[in-house]
Amino acid sequence: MTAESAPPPPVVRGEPLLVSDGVYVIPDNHVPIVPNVGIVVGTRATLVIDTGLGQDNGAYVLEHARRLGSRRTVYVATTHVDPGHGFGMAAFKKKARIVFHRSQVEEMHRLGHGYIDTFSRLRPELTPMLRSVEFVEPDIVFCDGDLEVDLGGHGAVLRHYGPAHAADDQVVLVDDHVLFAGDLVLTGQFPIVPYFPPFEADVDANHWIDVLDELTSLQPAIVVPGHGDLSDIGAIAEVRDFLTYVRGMASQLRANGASSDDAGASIEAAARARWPSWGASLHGSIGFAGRAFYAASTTGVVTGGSKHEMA
Amino acid sequence: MSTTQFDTGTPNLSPPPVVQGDPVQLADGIFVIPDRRVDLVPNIGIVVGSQAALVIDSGLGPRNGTYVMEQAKQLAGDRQLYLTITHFHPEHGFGAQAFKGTATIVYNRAQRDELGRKGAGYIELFKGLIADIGPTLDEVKFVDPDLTYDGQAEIDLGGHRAVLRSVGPAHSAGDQTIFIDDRVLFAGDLLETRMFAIFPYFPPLDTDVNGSRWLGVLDELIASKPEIVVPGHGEVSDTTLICDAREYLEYVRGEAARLRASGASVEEAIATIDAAARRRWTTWDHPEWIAFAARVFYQTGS
Repeated sequence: MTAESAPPPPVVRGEPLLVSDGVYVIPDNHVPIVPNVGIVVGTRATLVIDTGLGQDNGAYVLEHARRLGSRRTVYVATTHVDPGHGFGMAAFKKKARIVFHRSQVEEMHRLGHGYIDTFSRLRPELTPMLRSVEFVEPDIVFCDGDLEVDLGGHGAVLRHYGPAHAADDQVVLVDDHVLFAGDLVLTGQFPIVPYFPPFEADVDANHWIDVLDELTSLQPAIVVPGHGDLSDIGAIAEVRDFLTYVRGMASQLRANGASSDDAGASIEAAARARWPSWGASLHGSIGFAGRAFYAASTTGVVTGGSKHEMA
Repeated sequence: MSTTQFDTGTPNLSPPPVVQGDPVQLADGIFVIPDRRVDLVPNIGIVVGSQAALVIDSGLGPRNGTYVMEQAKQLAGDRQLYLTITHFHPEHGFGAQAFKGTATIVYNRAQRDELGRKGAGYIELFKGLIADIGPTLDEVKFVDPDLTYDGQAEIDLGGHRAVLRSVGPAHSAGDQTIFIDDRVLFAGDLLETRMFAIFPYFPPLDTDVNGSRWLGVLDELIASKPEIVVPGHGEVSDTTLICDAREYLEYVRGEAARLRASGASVEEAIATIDAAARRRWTTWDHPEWIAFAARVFYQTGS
């Protein structure tokens, strides 16, 4: 994508692809803001993972879930309450059982309308779509640890991992085999590090690295990233490499007396050279990552391990 | 679990464990099918919101479960149904199979795991303890929940909010309380009205009952100030019921500790506590559970 061409509208489209027994993905088609949408079909119920942005995308996803699930009970969850991922939830209200982690309820209330303002500034042509978003309360809220969903022949574990990419990160592990990682893992592009103080500074990049280690220990055979092509456990390692690289540079630059902005610029230049195949659309995120780690680092050089408590 | 004379040598004088009668409305949309003080019948809750209804406890066996589900459907119409169970004991949860595929069954993890560990053992235990129960138990099939949570979960029924909280081990390892709208408490066998607390201490099958933690849970329930308290068995009440239950447990704990410190054997302590508690709580049913409580508190030494 060049800087001049407007990105296509964030429309979920195309047929669900079977990626594992009972597990489907509607691919993002590399369209910004469109997530990879998951549909897991059991004998008794169907689970949708992420909705796309807005009522129409949500309705499109629900229609596929009902068709694949032969109109059985539908559950819907989101990897995090972010416009692309969870802002189509209203289409599911009263038609599916909406399942949130408590942190997602809190994030929806705290940041939902702010996200609409921010995204409307970034993509003015999407303002009508964003303004029509309706926030709905979930039917089921889980507060601690995991929620296990038995779909009949397929089991999904919803697990809260935030704060990392967001305060309310959640992954969904299906049959101990397929991991829906949300934006904790992207493929073929720079990770999104939403560090925009003061509006949003919940990203906890140090903890994110720890979370990636935990996701690796789950040993999933298939990793469905929030955005980008389906992959395997190697995708987790790639994100981890990037984050640890940025962390190392940020603490080094800070120790050398660089300002936050200078560190962000230096890190962006270095990372673009190091990962030339990752698209340009998220180059800006590198600088955010650099500033996030810069803010989280101490004056000394971080030599490894988590600095979560200092974030 | 419920109450029994533990005597299969004589005919069981209690009516059969059949859930009967119409739901009684306690508050707007909140119903109970009362236990009528029948052994092995629990108080069953049905909470009807604008979008969904929640059933709390199933009764023993699929016939009771089907009866409860029919009652719930009459109240709920075409709303979605949820079923949860206060704890895994047979008369509370062994009718869940009637709901499978119709209702969304929600358990806390500790209860699910406890059912897996002990469910079959409790069927054999009850057959050995209770006359005429075999045919009912032979119909039981265990089913897995659809949703399993840790710690706490909340269900929005539309106008009513249910908070499910895992609070065990106390009466059982997987005890769960259900609060409706922060004012109506379904307590399962953490509380009974005019009955001695049930201490299901059956080594080696089950030794998870924990009297000290049970007291702590009752303190938390008192602090939460429910307006209406639905016990596992016996009449619906209010916070005074929690205080009454706490007073009894505290009494047994104190006496067991005192007698143990004075050098009494466990059997001597049980005999003393049993006699004294029967004199003190003369209107309470099922005094056979006093000895179990005394043994548990004596053994834990606190």
